[in-house]
Amino acid sequence: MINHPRKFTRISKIAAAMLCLVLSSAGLPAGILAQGAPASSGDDLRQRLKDIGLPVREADPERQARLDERSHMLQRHQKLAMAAAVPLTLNLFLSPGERENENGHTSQSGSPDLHAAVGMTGAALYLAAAYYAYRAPRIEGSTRSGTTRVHRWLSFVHFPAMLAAGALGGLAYSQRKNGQTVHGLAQSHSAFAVAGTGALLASFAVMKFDLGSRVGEEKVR
Amino acid sequence: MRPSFLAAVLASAFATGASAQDWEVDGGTLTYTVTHTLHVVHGGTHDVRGSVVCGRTCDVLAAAAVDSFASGDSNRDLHMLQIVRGAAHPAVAVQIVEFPLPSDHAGATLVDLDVSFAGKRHVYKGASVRTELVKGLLRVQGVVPLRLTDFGVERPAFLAMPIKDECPVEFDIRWRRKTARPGNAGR
Repeated sequence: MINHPRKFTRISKIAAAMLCLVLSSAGLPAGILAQGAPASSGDDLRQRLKDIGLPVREADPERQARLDERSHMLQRHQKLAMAAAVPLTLNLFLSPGERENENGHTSQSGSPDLHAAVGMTGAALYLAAAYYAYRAPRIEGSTRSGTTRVHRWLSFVHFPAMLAAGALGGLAYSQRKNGQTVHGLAQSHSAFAVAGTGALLASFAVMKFDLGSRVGEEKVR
Repeated sequence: MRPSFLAAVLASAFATGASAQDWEVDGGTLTYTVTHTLHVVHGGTHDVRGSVVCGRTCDVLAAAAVDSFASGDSNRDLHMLQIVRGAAHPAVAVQIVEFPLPSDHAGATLVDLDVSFAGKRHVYKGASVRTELVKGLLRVQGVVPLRLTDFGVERPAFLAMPIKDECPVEFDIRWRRKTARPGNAGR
């Protein structure tokens, strides 16, 4: 009779229920029943997070895919921009100019062809970098803050300056090829080039100095 | 109604009621620190939720949404969210089982921190946690010695230099006693 399985099961159920009842009524909470139990995992943890009212989004693979694509494109943007900075900075020192010698005659210095070639290489890399920044998907619910905002403001300086420098550089190059001295608007080519390259290098620098992190510390602490 | 069923119902009714020793989050901060050759970055959140269910010892759960962390720079925060797969695994949770009962004496204790993050779990054994009971509020402070590789998180790089693998997360959480509410013990 003792080995009767159904009766034994019923007795064990009652015993377990009574044990719970005794423990609870003795003022010992449910937590004690979990003594020695492993921490929650998987669905159990998800349920506990819901129970404590954690305001988390549902898992969203599409959002994750957009984040992945965005990071991928911005990493390309970063690498191309760094690559562009090299020829653009170098070109500031390769610019052809007119130098007055001891006899009062002017002579050409530097090679316009080399300057144009390096400039076009830099411009191509710069435009490719700009393309990736522009095309990177926006993430719903995010607003620009910190260093990113300063980085973007600087793009409003270097992007038009680079376009103007490229166009005026082409004009200056054709004037020189026609045997003319550089004149008119083309004379401001170097000023735009210096402003554009300066703003580009500054946009690298703000990422290094990381203005935003200090803002973040104040926000959190 | 059969007696066994009645007993089970009564037991569960008692068991799901919050005990006088259970706690819920009053406020707190989780702060991570990322170290790169060029700079050190802190990011954190105040939006911490959790529960402490006590018996002989306590069972602690503290959690935050990954996208609630802010470092002061939106681009970095979005990149962090991408790196830790925050859209697919939106929460970071720390569980401590067998946490000692709060006492009036402030002190440090060694516990195992069971961390769920980026879709993976890792237990940091023997982490030091400091507790203090002040004016009815329980303050729990400590550091999760989190390493990105423990969760399969690829270390992001800036200017071709990756950040350090160690990414400690400080926690400073205040808990208040939970008011008894049957059917809502936070577990």
